[in-house]
Amino acid sequence: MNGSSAGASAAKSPISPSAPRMLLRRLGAIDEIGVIGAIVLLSVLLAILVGDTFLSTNNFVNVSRQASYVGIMAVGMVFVIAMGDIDLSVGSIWMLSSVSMAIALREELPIWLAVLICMVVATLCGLLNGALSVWLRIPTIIVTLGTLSLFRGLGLVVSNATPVSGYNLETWFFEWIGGRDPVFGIWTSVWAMVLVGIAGWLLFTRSAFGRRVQAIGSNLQAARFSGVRIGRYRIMVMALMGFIVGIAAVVALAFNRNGSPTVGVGTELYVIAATIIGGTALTGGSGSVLGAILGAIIIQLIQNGLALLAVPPAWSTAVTGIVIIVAVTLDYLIKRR
Amino acid sequence: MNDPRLGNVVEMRDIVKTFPGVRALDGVSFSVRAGEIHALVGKNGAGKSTLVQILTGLYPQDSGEIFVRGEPIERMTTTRAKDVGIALVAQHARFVPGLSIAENVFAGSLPRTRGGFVDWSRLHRDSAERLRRFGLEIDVRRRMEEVTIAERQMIEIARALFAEASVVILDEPTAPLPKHEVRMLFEFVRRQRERGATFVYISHYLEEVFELSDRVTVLRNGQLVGVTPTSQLTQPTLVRMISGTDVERFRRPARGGLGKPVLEVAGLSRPGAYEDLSLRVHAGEVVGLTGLEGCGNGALARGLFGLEPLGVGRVLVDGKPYRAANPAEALRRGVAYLPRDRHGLGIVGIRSVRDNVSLSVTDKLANALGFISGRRERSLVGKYIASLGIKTPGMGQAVENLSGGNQQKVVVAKLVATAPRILLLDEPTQGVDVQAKVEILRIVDELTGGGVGVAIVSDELGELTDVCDRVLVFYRGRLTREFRKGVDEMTPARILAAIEGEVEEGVDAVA
Repeated sequence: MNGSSAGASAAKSPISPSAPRMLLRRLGAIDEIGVIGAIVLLSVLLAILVGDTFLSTNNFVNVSRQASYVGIMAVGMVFVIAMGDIDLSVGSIWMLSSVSMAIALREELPIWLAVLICMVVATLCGLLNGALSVWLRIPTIIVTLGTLSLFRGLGLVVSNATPVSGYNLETWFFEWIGGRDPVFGIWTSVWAMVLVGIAGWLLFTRSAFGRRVQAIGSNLQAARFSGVRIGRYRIMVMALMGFIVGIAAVVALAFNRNGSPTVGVGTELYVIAATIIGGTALTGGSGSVLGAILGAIIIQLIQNGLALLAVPPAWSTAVTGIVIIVAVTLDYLIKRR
Repeated sequence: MNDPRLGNVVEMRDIVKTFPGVRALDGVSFSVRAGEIHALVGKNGAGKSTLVQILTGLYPQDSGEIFVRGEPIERMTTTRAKDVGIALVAQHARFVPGLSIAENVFAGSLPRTRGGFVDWSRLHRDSAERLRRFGLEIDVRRRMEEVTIAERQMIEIARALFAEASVVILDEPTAPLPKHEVRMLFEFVRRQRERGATFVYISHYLEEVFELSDRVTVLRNGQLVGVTPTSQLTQPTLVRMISGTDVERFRRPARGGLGKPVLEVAGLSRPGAYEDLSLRVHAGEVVGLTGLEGCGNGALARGLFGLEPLGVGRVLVDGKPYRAANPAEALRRGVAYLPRDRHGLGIVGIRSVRDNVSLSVTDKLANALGFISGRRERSLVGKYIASLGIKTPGMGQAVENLSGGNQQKVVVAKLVATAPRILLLDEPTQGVDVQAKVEILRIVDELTGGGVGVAIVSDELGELTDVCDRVLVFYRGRLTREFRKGVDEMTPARILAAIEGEVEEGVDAVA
């Protein structure tokens, strides 16, 4: 933090600023402070306005499930954006891997194989994004803008643009992965988000891999001069992004039951928004896995709140956009102090 | 107003500026007389930049007064600074590289035809004429990126003067310049002084301070050390004022009994870069590679580090055939390279000291699952902070907040952590203060004690003669001359003669 202390009066004692400012500075040092503040603010507001429905267990269980898919994918997006790249194709990867898995189930392949197919398809999509970008020397924003259509188009071809269904739903997969745990009554996809979050956090902050990813995003050339294989890392991170989308696709299909060709339309924007709200700098070089998950929750809270307030869905979309801007601005203002 | 040549055009009194936890300026007074070249010197972090940033209105002082031509300035802002004629020419001039010189000169106020379109012929005529008035004969149709950095700086100075600036601040203008361009720039600055312009000149290069300036203001730790006419100063005095102690030059004693060759190059050629190079660097030896810009010394270093193709010929590292396709491979083979451009290629600025030092060896610090052992990392980074004398509040400090000298030490630590066999240093002391310079050269000496071979690409001849066992001179891609410490008369003057192509009879290429 390099802000200037304002006013001539502050000159005499630079080390001991006033207590509230101290607190503000301490809070500002927490990376996720902006999102946490926004979540608290939103929750209080909704508790006051529509307390009875908002505070119900049922509502909490629903909101957390709805946030979980974007939350899982945002974990991958933290790596991508912290590296200085972007992935616009995550919604399409979700759709393509999802219908692939549904087709596998329809063809009566064993469940484990269908899950594997889903994960492999998603990972290959990410790998392709990374490889195209590195080998053709095209920025990922362009490559994934292309594959956004390519993957969705392929998904429409294999699914004939109709929902894939007609397989046995009475299996452990749909009951457990697509269900709720018996103790807390929370959807499995939320637990998946927690697990992916913990693994992602460890990988991002504690591993050589995460360290190098952030170094690349901070100064790509300096990272190269330090012996980091830039191309290899960029491909690996894009593939990791695909892999994580695959996880989201599996748990989402377990809940949704059929492989819908309309799943994931526009999801990339929510995933990116969640990541940025969570404090990952678009300029690369740093990020927060926890923040990204909280960002996904915020987005869902907003939509939930607007629904509870009976705001028409069209307005809900517009307001979501506004709140995203406010959240990011809030974070920026606090950090700047 | 009385005779402006006698008065102070700028006067800053008792300026105080604090940043969180740091008192950057502690009651500093600074004045500039009209028509002088006033050098502002001090170590990194002494407060030069802060002082200049306050003068140019980038941020306000906490207390203290600023007068311009005797008028008090209540609150200096960037627009106010421009109005009163204070202009800053930064090291990397702010131009649009893709536009023509003419367009850059007139940026923001291109002449228009009556139809509202740009009047190109007038633009070219007027801008050429403007520059000519300052003694610059340049084809203004050329694009900005095509001219040399010195020319860019001269154009920027001219642009500032044309905008009626009376005080031009030059911030480390010569750091990115090769020697002959420095000469051009200095002549230009002197000419403008004759015409009445006033300059504040910030530099680490003390020779240049003596060559160019009329008076010198020295800052140390945010305080004023003194203001002296340059003619009354000697270099040791100035160094003492800057550092507060007697910093000697670091003279590396000649070390006898060299080890085995760690780098052997035989008959190496790359068209356009170098031709038929043969040289050796032994374990424990420091070899200087010098010459004019583009003479092939830098290209050789970059080639060895896998940044450029090496060309045809034989290269051995530790006796084994060597080629590196990329820096990762070079580091693995024990070849480390310190780039010239510290900010662009050396440091990962927003990351911590810890992250930077361990970046080259994260693999070695990680366990089988790829997770970094915090304990091992802390001990490694702590070791280098101590042994290289890196001054930082902690390992978690972002590198961009350190002084230039300490940033450079972080880059050196990162390289040394890879346990290299040969260390290639490209202008290792560029843009670092006197004390850090000595410390960095001392580190180099210590490394050679551990059996590392060092090659320094540099045109700091004084430095090379102080630390090198041998200096090899490149001329147009060829090795033309070798100076050996204790055998040949290795002085900056003699090396300079060789650099500029003076061929001596009977001395041939180097073994």
